[in-house]
Amino acid sequence: MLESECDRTLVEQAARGDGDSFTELCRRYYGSMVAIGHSILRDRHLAEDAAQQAFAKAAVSLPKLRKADQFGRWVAAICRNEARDLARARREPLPEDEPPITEEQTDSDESCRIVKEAVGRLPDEAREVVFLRFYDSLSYDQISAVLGISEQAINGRLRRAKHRLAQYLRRSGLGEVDL
Amino acid sequence: MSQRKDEKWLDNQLRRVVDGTTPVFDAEAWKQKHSREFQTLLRRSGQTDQSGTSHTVRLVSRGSIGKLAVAATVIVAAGILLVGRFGPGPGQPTAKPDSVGLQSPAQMVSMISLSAAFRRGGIDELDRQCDRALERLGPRPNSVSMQELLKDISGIERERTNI
Repeated sequence: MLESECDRTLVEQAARGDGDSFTELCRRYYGSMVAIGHSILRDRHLAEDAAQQAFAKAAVSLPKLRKADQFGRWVAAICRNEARDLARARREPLPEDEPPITEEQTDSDESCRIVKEAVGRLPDEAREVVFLRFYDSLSYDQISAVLGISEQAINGRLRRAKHRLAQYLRRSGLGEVDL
Repeated sequence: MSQRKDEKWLDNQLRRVVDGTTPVFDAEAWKQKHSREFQTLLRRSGQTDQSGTSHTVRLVSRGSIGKLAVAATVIVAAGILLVGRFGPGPGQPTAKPDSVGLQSPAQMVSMISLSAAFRRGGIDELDRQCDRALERLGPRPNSVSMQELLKDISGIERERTNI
């Protein structure tokens, strides 16, 4: 039943102490939060920690949320801060989230490595939109809810990110990418 | 490896890089891990009425328009209260009763006072002014003539002036 409720209703109920409404909000935004955390930390497990920590902070600070229909955007901002704090706290190079390279490495693996490197060089905002778009099952509506921008703006941001990637891939000798 | 590639190829590569298999939120595990924060949220259920009131206050004080509306209402209410208590009501005569009260009966029935009374409230106010002058003068027997009465008024006037 709660699945059909809009964010505003769930936020208002959660602000009045309804735990089920709050966990429904968490379910709804968990994927987006992990994607955002992953784009910053480049580590899936740490990204999940950051997302869960963001929800914990949101549970405490929910009465401070002025616009109930902007929960996604609000919790995304908390999640970014959490992820950046985690990244700073580690004080070590970001992990290469890939299996060790073997002698049987194929062209495809090499391409993947270069693309990953290129994604890592994108500005935060562009990298975030790439992660949100290519995370499984995230719709434009969900991305829009956490970024607070229209579908058109999401596509524009994504296109600019892809052009940057294509430039990097060309410089890396991976060849031209027709966009 | 350096052959031309299209957007679809890039999308597939990005999908591999992101490796975004949908994460599932384990609500029970989260509640256990962050029990303190979750309990803080649950404790608000007992404060429904209080939060309802504060919500209204918050709504009003949220925007600048709300604040201005509240300020305007307070000023208007204070103005109405002050006018109701100290000032004349709408359509009421603007005369100051105290100034009339300080006048002697002779002054009260002078041409200037009577015409001022007429301007303030018409014939009714003129009548009231005369009544007040007679009350000030005190009770008189019916047999006293108007001439004696006027003489008496003048006498009192003189007495007062002499004081």
